[in-house]
Amino acid sequence: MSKKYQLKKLSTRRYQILAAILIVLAAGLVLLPENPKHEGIAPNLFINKAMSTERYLSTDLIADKMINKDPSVLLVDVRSETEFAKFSLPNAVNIPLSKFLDEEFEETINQDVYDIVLFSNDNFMANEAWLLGNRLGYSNLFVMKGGLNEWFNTIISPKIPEETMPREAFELYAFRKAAGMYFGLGTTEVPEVKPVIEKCSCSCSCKFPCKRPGKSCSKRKKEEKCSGRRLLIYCCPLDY
Amino acid sequence: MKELEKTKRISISAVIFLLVIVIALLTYRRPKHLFSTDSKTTLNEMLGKDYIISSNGLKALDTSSYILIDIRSSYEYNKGHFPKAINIANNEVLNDENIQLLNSLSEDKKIAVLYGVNPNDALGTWMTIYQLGHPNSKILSVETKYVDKVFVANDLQIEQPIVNYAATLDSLKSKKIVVIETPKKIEKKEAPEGCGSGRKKEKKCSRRRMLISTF
Repeated sequence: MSKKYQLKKLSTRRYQILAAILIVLAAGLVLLPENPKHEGIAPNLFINKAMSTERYLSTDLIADKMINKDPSVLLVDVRSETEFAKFSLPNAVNIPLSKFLDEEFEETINQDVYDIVLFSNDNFMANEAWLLGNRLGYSNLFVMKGGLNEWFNTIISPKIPEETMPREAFELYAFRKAAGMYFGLGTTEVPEVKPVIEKCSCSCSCKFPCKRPGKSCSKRKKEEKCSGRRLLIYCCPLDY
Repeated sequence: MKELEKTKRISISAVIFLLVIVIALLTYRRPKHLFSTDSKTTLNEMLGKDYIISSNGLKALDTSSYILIDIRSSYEYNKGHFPKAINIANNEVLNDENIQLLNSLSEDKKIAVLYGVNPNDALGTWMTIYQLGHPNSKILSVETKYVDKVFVANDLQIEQPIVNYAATLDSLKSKKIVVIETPKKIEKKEAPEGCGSGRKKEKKCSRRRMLISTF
């Protein structure tokens, strides 16, 4: 009788007993030896990311974005604080590489609102920061290709293109010079641009063979041609 | 009848539940390679800059204490490389044989010295190898290229500013800017079919015609 009573008592308390066992087991988990926990992405993914050159943005592109006040771009200088104090790009934020993984900067680096452009003197240190961030799975990190050295070579003192270079090279040079002015270089004197008067460039074609070559259009007739009335006949006057 | 249906449902859902667990267990695969070094340690190693070795530093080392690893593609490696260097292309680091090689290097306490086109090129591979648990790896700070088909390596200073930025900027700020005009686009004119409009063209025209007539 008493045994049955005890069993009944146990069965009514079975949930409490089960819970107690679970708690004991959970406590055991804490005592387990610490396994090396894998942090961030897998090595094969990491190596794929490290190989790709997608992260590099050219200085021209960044200058363009800065001038257009692109709100989605955040420039991050990963050099030391002293170097940052001496010179940095306008509106850049300083996160030294030594503090790159600190908690206070994590919410700046690990988010998906801004495109973060990392730069340093070269792109080596910026790359170090980029790789560290990417291992932890941070997206939206970019590297300014060539760093500040490239910035000085392109935007601050661009090379004058040679005369034989294509038109694009001159346009790029003009852009870089203008960008340099925007970043506070030189006087913003605008050179006087002489209006170009378009000369009469009518190239009329004569459908009829000239019987008496050597005769040209008369002045008046030429003017008429230039004014837009393209009269084919006037090309070869008198004979057709 | 209702009771029976209930039990049926329960048993079906139990079977499905078990199936899901079994499938999950079967398909679960532990990734082959895992990073064993965490990023804080890596960062500290990076800040120390000990992992970058110059060619002079390499000369000071005993030749048996390190091994040079060319991380460029095998094609580039076959064109030319450092004497005694071995090739581990940067996208093949995780191949079984390469992993084995790295492990044996670690066991022998040999230093793996990586080089590529430039130190920046070798950085990603170095970081992978380092984080896989091979702390004895370094990057050689050289720039390699081919000059007349001969493999040449030049010493390179990493992160060296080319100019004093602030001073250069100040000196440039007072300078006037020279604007070079963009050359005008020249549009091709349509070649006149018959005689041109000007006198000269007509003359040319006439000459040609003359020629034709004489033939």
